[in-house]
Amino acid sequence: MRLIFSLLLVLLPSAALAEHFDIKLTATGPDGVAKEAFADQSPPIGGLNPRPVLRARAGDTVTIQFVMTNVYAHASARDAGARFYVVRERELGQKAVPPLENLTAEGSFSFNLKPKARIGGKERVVISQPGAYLLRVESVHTQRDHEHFSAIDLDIR
Amino acid sequence: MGLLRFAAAITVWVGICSAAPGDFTISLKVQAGQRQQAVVSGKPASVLTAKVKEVVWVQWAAVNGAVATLSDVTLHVFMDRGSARSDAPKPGPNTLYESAVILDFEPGGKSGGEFRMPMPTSGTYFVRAETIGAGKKLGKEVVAAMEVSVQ
Repeated sequence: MRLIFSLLLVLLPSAALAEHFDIKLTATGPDGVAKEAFADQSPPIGGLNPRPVLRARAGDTVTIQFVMTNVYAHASARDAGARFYVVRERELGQKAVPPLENLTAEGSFSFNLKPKARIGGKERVVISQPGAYLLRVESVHTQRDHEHFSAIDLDIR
Repeated sequence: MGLLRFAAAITVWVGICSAAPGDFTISLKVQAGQRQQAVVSGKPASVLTAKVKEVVWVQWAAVNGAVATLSDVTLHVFMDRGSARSDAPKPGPNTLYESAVILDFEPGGKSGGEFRMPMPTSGTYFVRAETIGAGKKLGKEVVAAMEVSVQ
């Protein structure tokens, strides 16, 4: 069923590294070139994995898509959530997350997290100004000692 | 708007939304500048006007006022071009926004979400928040929709 797009159907058969959350994040440019990233965790700041970089032009439409799956079989967490955002950063690959101000795109979800819960999102984003941007999706309030995220850099020229 | 305020706003929005006993309700609110419209499931779609490039802020909250737990319900939200009055519209290939969260709704259970995006071009758009799978116990799916007229 195409209804809930491929998000919940193309569910992560593979490469996720997380012990709690599987995450698959994809950014696709107008030419169809796509970059994928999988779950990482913080701390340390910026996570363990280098971020892929998607290059596009100012004014291009970039499609961002993610699926998060709670793979920790025994954990439920009330009032948990997930959020995603695109924010300008000082330089590609920088470790620290920039101040979350003047976000280019953003969204969030709140829910009672249950084992095997899945959260998927897709948004078409037009970035009008050249620069380096961070696309990041992350878990929040999961009542664990760390949260999981996945991130891709956008190099807009 | 900073993300903390953003997250706090959705927490408050979900918190204040409540369902009549026995009902599963979806509340939908859309804001553009100082204008906003809200609608609840079961009511006709309302219309919000916005300007090209203006940021539209969409918030939704689903509350299970029924006495039964609803398992494996997908809360599906999307924004696309077209009229909210279309019968059971589906997201197209150029959908602006789409999300799906698979949840169990205990009695009194709530879930919500939000997103913000600038409206790219003039035209008629709609936002639809709907359940998929709740109909097994409720006898019908629950839908809230709103139209956004961008000028």
